[in-house]
Amino acid sequence: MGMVFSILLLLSGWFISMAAVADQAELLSVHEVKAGFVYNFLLFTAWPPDQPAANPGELPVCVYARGAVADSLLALNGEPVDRLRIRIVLWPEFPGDCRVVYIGASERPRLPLILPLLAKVPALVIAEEEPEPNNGTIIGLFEENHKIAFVVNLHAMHEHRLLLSSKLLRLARKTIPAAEQ
Amino acid sequence: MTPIHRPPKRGIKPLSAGILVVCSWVAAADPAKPITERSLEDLLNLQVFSASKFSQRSIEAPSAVTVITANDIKTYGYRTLGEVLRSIRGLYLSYDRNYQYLGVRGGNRPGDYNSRVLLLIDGFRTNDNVYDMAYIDRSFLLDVDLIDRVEFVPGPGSSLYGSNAFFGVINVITRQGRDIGNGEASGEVAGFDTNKQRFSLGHRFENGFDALVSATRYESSGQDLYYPEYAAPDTRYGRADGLDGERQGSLFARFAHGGWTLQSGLTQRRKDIPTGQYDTVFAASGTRTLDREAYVNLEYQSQLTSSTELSARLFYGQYLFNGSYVYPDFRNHDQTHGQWWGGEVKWFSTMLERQKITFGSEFQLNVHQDQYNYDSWSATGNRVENLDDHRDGDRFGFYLQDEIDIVDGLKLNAGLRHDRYSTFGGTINPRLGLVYQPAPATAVKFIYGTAFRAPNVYELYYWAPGPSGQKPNPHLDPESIQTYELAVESHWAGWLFTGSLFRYEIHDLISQSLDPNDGFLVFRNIGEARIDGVGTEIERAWSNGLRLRGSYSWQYGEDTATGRWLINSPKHLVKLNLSAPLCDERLRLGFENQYTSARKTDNGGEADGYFLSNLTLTAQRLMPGVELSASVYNLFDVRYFDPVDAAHRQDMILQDGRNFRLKLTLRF
Repeated sequence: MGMVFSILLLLSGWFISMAAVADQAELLSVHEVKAGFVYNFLLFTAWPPDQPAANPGELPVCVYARGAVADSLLALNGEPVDRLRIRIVLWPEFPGDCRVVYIGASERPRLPLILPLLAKVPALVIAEEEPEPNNGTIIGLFEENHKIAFVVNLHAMHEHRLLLSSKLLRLARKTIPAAEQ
Repeated sequence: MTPIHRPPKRGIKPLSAGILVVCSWVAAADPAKPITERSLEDLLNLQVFSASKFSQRSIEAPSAVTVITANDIKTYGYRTLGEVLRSIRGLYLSYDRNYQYLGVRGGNRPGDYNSRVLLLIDGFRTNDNVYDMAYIDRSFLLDVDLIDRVEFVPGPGSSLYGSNAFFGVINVITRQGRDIGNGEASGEVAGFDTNKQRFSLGHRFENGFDALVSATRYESSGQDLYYPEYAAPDTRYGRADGLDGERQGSLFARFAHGGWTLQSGLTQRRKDIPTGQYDTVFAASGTRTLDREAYVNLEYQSQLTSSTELSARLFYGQYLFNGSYVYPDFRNHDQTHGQWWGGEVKWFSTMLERQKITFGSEFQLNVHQDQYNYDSWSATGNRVENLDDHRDGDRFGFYLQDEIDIVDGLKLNAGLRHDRYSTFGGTINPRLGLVYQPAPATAVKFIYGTAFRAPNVYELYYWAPGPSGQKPNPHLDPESIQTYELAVESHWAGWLFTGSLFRYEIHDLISQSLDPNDGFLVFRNIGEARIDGVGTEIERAWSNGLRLRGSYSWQYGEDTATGRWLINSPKHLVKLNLSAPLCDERLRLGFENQYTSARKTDNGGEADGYFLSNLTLTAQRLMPGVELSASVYNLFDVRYFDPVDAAHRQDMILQDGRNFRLKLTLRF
């Protein structure tokens, strides 16, 4: 009896999913949109000139995230940014070569353990966060009313010796001035 | 030995065909403009699916989860899942030179087969369907090199996972093809004449298809051992030479595309038993156990609407045990054959304001739960059947969990699951968690929950004739546990701090005892126990690459019927893991220290407390694609013993002294 009940539940799941598919077409997954943001951030970032990449011609984007968002970021592999090509590096042990670091929501509790490794690295540190950007990430991405928004921490930007274009800062939901820290 | 495999009889095919139909529907959805061609303004205005929680909540619990990563496994040179788990706050191991047994917060009765923890691989339940055992030694389905991370959730998990999630849930998350790159070849040599090889291929293709296949082979001659309990002329003066061998092989494959993941694993381990367990002839070769487990797990995850996700799985598992025991005139064969399949569907929805609802249903059909036992007499060639027990059965469960944001900074996590077994009937298990965040970096959690463990087929139906035989008890009820826990998690000045205070109350514990009426051993729901404890953990990473994780836990477990301290239940556990970069990150040193305090043994003795230190040096940047590591285990050659069950003449068993391992991994 129980098994029959369970199979019925299983099947009803499929019917619901079929009915719901129509809803899906015009919506983009949050992970794809986040990857789009990351790509745009790279276009508006200037790295310190005295820090050439370990591999010429490459822009290493390091990803500390699991699941769908990591998959979406992987799709950026090989995309051009100026004269460089994006290279996605998953879970690097030595983030010293990273020029961009993406920290997913799943790693939020471990943020205090990841950030110290990035202290002297000239990398654009992006994290999925609650609206308030946490200690030390430059850009915080968050979701609000089914849209993605971001905040910029200028203090962290200076710490990592990066420059973000004024256009990026203008579109940020909020910029946290260096003095506030 | 002849494996007793039969192909699955029924029904996986039509169901998976149904899933495929749905899949093709989803795939037909219109591909949008490439995301790299959209401007920031455009992106800011896009409507998105609400944040996916499935991928993040492999184990969601309002309790303090510990995570061990692939890096930790490498840095500290862990060889088995058991060693990984031993580094976690409140966990400890014991080993009787046959299997490794996991103790959780003071609960690890000798003779129990790890049935009070649930061990999942990417959500697949690996506990077999006869002994309900979680295999954490080399009979674990997965090579530890293929683990991406291990999550341990202490406390009751039955409100979400059903049976066995009694003391905690271990979820092992596997590496993916993309983590491998193209391929890896790894070889190791170690003390006690041990060698291991692994070959893995993995890749994520342009179209998103991710594949990983891997094979492992392991062989160890083991040690020459001495047991003073057998120090007599007719038992070779207690010497068991060349009887500690172990052989193991495993295969693993994982394929993923879109929302689909198909994975399969097979492992087989043979362990020689040097201890004279079950009164077998001491120091005679041929007493050994063989375990083989295999599984297939097909999973589908999909975002149905902007606020609803669906995940579904179909699974198939198979377990074979073949024990061979040498007696003076005959050889006893104890065999088990388990086979099962089932499915699970889970919905996750944020449809209601400030609520996250999970609703799911799971069923499992136990096609075979068979136990055999026979003696083969060497002189006559006769075969005497002792047991030929064939069982099947089923279980199903459904569950509901809701996480409610009551006000900002206060969350209620409430879950309830009903399980129904063909053997004993039904049980309902709730869990309530209240999470209060007084500041962004601090969380205070209160958790109340119950959990159960269903009586397993071995306890219900195993039958062994003879003077000290065992009789079945088909009327066993499930064991249950009630727990209360207060936990605090906080980030402060770069430190991660976790503290917890808990009480476990265990009822109807299934215990083996002697029936005075007929002299048979029988399992009964007679045990009652209580464990109280506190635990604390700190973790920190420094910008120079130094990492530290330390924990201390105190627990006291008491048999509430007798008022006595529980057997194999240490009061103090201390762990300190330190990892440091050397020579500009070219080398990494992993230094692990553990203290386990004294434990009472089955016969009223005491196994002394001990310090254990392991040291691993890993070189990852000597040459591109080459990784070399050297480990010394039990660095200070400490002599320490683990309590073992009454099937041994020994009260406790000496563990490995100082030993080493060298490992080379090539990536291509």
